[in-house]
Amino acid sequence: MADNILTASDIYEPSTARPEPLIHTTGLHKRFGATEALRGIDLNVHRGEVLAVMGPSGSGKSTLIHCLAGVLTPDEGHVVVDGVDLGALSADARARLRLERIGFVFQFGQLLPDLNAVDNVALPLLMRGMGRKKATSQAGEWLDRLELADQAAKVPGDMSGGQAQRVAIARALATNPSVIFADEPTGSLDSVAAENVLTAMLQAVREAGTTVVLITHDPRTAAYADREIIVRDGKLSAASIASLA
Amino acid sequence: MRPSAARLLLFSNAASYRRLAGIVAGVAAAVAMLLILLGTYLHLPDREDRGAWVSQEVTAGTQGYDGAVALPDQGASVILTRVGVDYLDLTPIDVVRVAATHDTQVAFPAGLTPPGSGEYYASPAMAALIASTPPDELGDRYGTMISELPASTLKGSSQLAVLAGAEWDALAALPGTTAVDQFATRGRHDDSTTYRLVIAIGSIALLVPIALLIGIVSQLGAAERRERFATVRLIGAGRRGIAALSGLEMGLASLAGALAGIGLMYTLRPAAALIKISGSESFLADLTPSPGWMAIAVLGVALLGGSAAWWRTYRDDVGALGASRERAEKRATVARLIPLALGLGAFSVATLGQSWLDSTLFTLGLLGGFALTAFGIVVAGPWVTKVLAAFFARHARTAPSLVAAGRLSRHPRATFRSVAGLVVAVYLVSMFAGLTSFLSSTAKPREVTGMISLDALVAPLSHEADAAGLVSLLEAMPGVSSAVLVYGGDSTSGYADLMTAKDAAAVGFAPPAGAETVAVNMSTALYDAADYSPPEPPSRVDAIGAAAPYQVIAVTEGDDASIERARTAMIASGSVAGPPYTRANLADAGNLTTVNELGVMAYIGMGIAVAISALALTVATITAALDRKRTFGLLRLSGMPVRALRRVITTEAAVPLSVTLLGSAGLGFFVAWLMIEALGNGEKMGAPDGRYWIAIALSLALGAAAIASSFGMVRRSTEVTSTRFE
Repeated sequence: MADNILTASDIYEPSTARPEPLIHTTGLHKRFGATEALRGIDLNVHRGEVLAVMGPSGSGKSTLIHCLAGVLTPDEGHVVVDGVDLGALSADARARLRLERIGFVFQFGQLLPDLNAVDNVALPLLMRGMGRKKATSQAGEWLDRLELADQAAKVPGDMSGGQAQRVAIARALATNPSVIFADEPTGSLDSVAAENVLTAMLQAVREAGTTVVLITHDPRTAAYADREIIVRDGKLSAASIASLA
Repeated sequence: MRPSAARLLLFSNAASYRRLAGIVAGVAAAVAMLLILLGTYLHLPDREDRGAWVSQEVTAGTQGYDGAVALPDQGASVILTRVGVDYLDLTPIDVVRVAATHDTQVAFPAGLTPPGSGEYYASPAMAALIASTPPDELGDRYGTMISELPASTLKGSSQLAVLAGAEWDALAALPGTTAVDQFATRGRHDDSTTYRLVIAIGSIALLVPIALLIGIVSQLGAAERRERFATVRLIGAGRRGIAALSGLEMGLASLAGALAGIGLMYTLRPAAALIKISGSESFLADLTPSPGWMAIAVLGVALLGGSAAWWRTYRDDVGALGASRERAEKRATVARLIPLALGLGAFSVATLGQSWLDSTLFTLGLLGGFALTAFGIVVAGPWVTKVLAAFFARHARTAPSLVAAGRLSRHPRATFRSVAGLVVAVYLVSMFAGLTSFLSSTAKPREVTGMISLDALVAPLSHEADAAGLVSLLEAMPGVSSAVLVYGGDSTSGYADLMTAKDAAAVGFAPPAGAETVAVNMSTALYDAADYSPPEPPSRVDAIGAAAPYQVIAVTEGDDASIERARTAMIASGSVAGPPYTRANLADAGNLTTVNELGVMAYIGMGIAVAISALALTVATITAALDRKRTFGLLRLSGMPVRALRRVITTEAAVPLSVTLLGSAGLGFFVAWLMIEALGNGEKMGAPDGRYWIAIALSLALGAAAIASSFGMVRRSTEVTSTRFE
């Protein structure tokens, strides 16, 4: 795991020797009333890496992801994704950015229950304006890559949890996003299914060169990441930083 | 289950209260309308019985007509009566003239004292009309008013009726006068049979959308309820216990709604009383069922509501894990077309077999056919929606259409149910518009050379009329351009009516050039042919000879005051045997007042049904959107703009609505065509009148408004900041 631990440069200023990070945040603060959920987060996420975000419940990791994805607007600080400062974008423009450059995988997959697997995967492609035939064809290819070809015509209710989660991964990858935010993607699965899903996801993202920000409570899941950060009380873990200094 | 636990389970949050409030409101509306319709249905024969005294057909006793049969001598045991329909413009007035001895033994309606010659009783509405109209245009026709007719002698509150006294000899001289030894106290009930049929059909048409609304409201927060029921099952409650709880909840809500419905009925009665039945608005009492019927309705609705909820919950059997997976609907199969086919079959048998079916079977066929067809539309709708959705899904090109197609395919029953009320309402009004469309193709009176002028009044003369004096009187009146006499000719010649050529030209005929005297056909000159074929032209005759005048025609300047003054003068002269009439009066009398009244009722019913259905659509759309709040929220989170979500919601309602609306309109017109053809009167179905298109436009507008009303909620409830990563 030591190889995956943050370095000081990862946490703060990126090294000039390293390429431009895909996601770059400085001094992120977010408050909900009297509660300060984020208290000055500085972070770089590099292209193609898999970053695990860990921390106890209520530590602020979901808020962090919301800010990184442009779902929440920080009260202070900046978020730059793929060279675009999210603070300078309107809500519609941020939605457009999410559609074009970001994919999501949720704990329960959150597939549309009325659509079969191939239509679920084709949906974001259609949202981006692709024709139905081409979208269906590409969706079929992604299902194939995730070994779900035989599930293409099934609706989520007729699949196992692991299968549904792999369909959700196919959906997230179908648009070739720059980054995927995965929030406890294996949280609802047993250990065998969880391992299958993670393996499938990481294999697919590495082939596609996609960046992944993975929220998890589970150290075994975090172990699949290239590195991990720990959020505690709205800040990156001081212990981690100190140990890396 | 202990009451405290039940209370916790059923009334745990604001949504539970909203749902119950919706059920109570829906049931209250249904019960209020049901009670008004029931009251009207039950009291229809009473209305006719109260008004029986103005109906000539049911008077009894010795009858003398046109002098052919001698009337009995003047005496206390009989009275003379003469019934007629007078007009003020196009408004008909029931007029009964009576002649009685001062010691008559004949009981008058409601124990009234017989009016003397020149005296009259008037209904309250008639008295008000007389008071608000110049005497020389109305009041002078009848003499001096004694008092108002009591309600117990009237069909309804707006009935225009006069009971006027006359001299025995003068009345005896008029053709059509009848001698009777009692007034009729029982009507023929023809009208009440017709209206009862219509009310029964109307009840079905109104209660279907209300039932759908209640069904939709009861599904509010269904997903959340399933979760709660599943949790309770998990901690030990049985299937029957959950069903009983659900039944109790619905039964109590229905009971509260039904009781509120009684209050609502009393509130709505004044508005409902304004709808005309048999030519009159209703007394409030005629819309109110007895307390016994109210009790039956209240308990019946509560029992029905509770039982239905019990059965549905028991059948659904929410298990301990019931909420973990999305519940698929039962597959809609082609068998859903069976009730519709049966309904059309019943209609066909009733209409085609009208000549040999007895009236009970005919009525049952019509009612059963209507109920089955309306029910059949509701049952068949999901199957039609499913077929449409499959087609739509294959051809979806955009994300919103794909999401909508998925929903329609998987939930055809739920999606159709939201629009079913509108579809049934359109079916009803289309059928009625089709049935009455022949009226718009019926000839309307218009000014044509060769026909009596539209500005002319025609009246039969009494046997002892001073015809010349009447003509002089009329010609001297302001607003009367000419007054002429029509003579009874030789019927063997084919023409019974003779006039001078000059007089004929004055009233609208085109006499042959050089003719002094002509024979005319008054019948074709008064009634427009359906195809506007030209009336028979006058023909030259040698002379009027010994023929006696039997009709008088006064041509006026056409304004209402001139016509009514001339009409009043003719009646007041005592020389006319019956109320004077214009061609417009004749056309109106033949123009199916009942059908027009039914038309008004149908469109009012349609309006109510559409409003209820629009409300149901609103609730259903919002419910469907709320149930998918998380799905929609995640779609927005993934970058789907709100306008795309609006398109999803619009498509989900618009697809079943547009197609089934077209289908139900077509079905309505088909049924109407079937009935018109079966009646075999040579009537043809024409284009529906403007009201139909207004009703359709209203349906579509309310449907669109119902869908649009959910947009704000969808935007708010799917804000990305409120969507959690769960």
